Amino acid sequence: MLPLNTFEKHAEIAAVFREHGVPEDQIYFAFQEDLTCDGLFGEEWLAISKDGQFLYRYSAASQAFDVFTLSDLEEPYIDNYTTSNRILAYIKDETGNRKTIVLGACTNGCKRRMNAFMNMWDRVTKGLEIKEDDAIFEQFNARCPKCGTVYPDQQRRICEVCAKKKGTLVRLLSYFGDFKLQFATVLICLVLTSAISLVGPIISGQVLYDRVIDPAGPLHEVRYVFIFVGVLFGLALLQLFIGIIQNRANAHMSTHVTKRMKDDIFTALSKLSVSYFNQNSTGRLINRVNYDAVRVQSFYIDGVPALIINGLNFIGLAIFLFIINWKLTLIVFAPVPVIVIMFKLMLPKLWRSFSKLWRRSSSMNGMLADTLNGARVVKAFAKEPEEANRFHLYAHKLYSASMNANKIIIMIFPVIALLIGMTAQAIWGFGGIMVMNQEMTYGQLTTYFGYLGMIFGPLGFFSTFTNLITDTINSASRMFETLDQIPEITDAPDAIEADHFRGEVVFDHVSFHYNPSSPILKDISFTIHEGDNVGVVGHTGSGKSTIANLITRMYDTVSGTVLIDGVDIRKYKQASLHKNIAIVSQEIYLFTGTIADNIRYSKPDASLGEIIAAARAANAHDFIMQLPEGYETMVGSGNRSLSGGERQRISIARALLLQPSILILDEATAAMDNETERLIGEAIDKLVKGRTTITVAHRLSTLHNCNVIMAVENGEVVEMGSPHDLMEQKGDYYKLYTLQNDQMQQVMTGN
Amino acid sequence: MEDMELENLFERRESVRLTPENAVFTRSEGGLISLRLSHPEAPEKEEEFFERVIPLRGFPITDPEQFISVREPDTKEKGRGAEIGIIYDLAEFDEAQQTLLRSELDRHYFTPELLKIYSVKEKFGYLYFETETSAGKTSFVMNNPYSNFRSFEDDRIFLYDIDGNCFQISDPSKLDKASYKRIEIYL
Repeated sequence: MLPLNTFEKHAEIAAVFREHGVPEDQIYFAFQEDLTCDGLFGEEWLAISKDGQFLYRYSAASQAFDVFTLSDLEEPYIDNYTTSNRILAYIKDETGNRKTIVLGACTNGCKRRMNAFMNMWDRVTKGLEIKEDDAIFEQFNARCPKCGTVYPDQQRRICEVCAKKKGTLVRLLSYFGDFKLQFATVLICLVLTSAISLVGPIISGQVLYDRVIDPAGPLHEVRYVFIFVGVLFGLALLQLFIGIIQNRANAHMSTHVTKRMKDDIFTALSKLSVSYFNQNSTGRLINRVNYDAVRVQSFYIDGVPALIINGLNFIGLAIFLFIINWKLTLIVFAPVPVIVIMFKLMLPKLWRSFSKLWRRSSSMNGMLADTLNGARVVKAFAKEPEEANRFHLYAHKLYSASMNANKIIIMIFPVIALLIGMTAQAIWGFGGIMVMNQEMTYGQLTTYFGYLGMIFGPLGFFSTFTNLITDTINSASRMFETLDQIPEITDAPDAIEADHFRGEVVFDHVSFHYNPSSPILKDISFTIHEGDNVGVVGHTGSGKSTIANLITRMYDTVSGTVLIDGVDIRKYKQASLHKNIAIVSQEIYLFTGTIADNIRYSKPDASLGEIIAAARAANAHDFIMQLPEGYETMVGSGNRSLSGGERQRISIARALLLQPSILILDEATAAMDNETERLIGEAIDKLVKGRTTITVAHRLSTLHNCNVIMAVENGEVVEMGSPHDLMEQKGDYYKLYTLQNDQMQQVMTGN
Repeated sequence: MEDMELENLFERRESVRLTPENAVFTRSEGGLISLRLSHPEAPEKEEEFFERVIPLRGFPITDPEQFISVREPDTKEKGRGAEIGIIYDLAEFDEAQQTLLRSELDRHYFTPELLKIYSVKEKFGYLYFETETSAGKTSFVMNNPYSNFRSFEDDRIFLYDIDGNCFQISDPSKLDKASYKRIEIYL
């Protein structure tokens, strides 16, 4: 059995097949589905016999075992739905009518296997042999791009080695790794500060009062008053000094850590594949880099030191309080369980309300970015008041979320304050009685009160700290979510560097979809030879641009391979691909900066001469020279706006500057008039002589220089050949040509 | 002759409004949907029979029963299937046809309702769900719960797993307490 799905762990299924007279060695390959034909979750198996004659189907739920003769099943295909997929085929009845039947179904979870199964079925009907080491099985041995381990569950590509996340907070602390010295300094300072603040009350209470001020004290002299007050003053100075050192070290460390975090997030984001950016709104991503890192930074600057010092103080205080008088201390701690229970109850709510707060703030940012970017459209349809209202709505939602979060905090606080106040009164009462009964000295009570005042500090802090910490964990886990995102497209560990391509492009049984429910390319194969000038025509949505995207590996194929110069493009370093293949697409983006900067973007070390040459070739030179600041005119958002055609020409110049081995023009000249288009065409022809050029276009006039035309329809290559041959064939190209010609003539003759 | 061919190429079927007056949906022999389409307004046109049609929702989330596009399947020869017509409201048809269409639509937009959540375990940042759904028992894995719980104004929740499958909870308050608790913190 070929390694698609095997009976290795399914002895019971093997037994069923055997019962029906199909031993395991009679099966060519099998496919396990997770949906029954009725659309319920359940196990079903499809198998094709070794002789390629039969298709078996076994449903574990209904125990039904069906046998189909393969030759009866015509045009089997996968019907892709949003979240499920079905294999359908036509079968002829006695009268010769074709009817559609359902052969199997699965969720998106086994979709890859379903595709592979259908591909193999197709090959079986064509009489081709499939070997165990066929390329199609490679996708089921996928490895984690980060560490190279084979995924334990191929359906769900989770790398347990890499995904092993330490607790979010521990992981945050790991950022301090490079700042051991500073970190140690801060820690020592914190311990010292805490120790000093603990010594204070002993000196002022038990020493100063019991030993010096008390007439019965052993040091009852005025000079000792001065000495100990002096000591207290000295301690205060020392504490101030330590505080300064600690803050300096901390500021140094936390700014660096935050910077590093922002860098990390940005680098992680920029490594992610195009599909990630299609799925996540820009507002959300900006929020992630800014807001989240700032949140985490404030946690470092204010939160962490305060946490340590309060924690130490709290422990020290608790010990001292117990030593001085454990009975009183029990009273002090009496309300603690109540406080803890309150937090236990309120924390999840608080957590959720902060999460909501973040989501709302991010959707508000998203809306803001959307409207400001689309300012032109907003104005064109006079939608300013509506947009303002929409913003009010978002702002109001944010306001209510923030109100909600605050309400919870407000509810917690007064209760705690009341509890603390009540405890303090109780201590005065009980402590006073104890001093009167001479169970403790007045100095001890003073010290005790000194400590008591201090212990409410940490308690108060811990109660506010929870909200800082929930907020931080929220932000931090979102940050790590981004950092842990594995780019869909990564370089193989042994990827090859290529300085130059000859320019041969081969598509070998390539299938592709962005969304499983709508296949874009269906098993297409073609070869573009070195130096070819290929024109790709087809309707909108036929898959033309996808072909271009696959050559540059913006996306990986779902199945099949793209080869450049005979090598699978997945084996090249991505940088090599992008250095040698230039693509000018329909979407043009000019960065904020000068025109020269924008042209130079593809090759930062280009000389000014090269820039001008590229601009000339793209027919952009003349209009650039007419701008008051020439090549130094600022463009991009908020600057001089260029027309669509001008922007396209700049982006063509950007691509030409690269002197690529393969040039892809994806509707690159659509916004230009015919004359300009012709001029650019000529310039490009000169520049790319001997290189491979692929031009995607609607207008056939764009393709007048192409030696090969490829017609794409519905995700399939329907025609490919020289323009002359295709005209003779009278296929799609011919029709398109006649149509555009007719239209032209109608315009000319005025009909 | 040539002109004829050219016209054929660019001719699209004209999509009609499908009502019980002109359309009859039946279960096909293969368990799918067939359509018999008549043209009461143009008696000269012959009745058409489609062995298999595909219903698609215009507004799958908010108005799943309104504006259902009925199309021919994609084929190798003809390419993308053309729209035969639109059902404005599923309720216009009789009960049997409604059920037939609804079951096919539910298959297409396969979004099982979560009835019970037996367990949600977090392991290495992934959530492993064990659930009972309207389509039977199943388990699924989700990452990034922040992005993969999608809630709507009407309190409905969609959950997307890492394979791109989707599950829904139409009314979280109707879930049993234990199930609700397991997902509460992600809402």
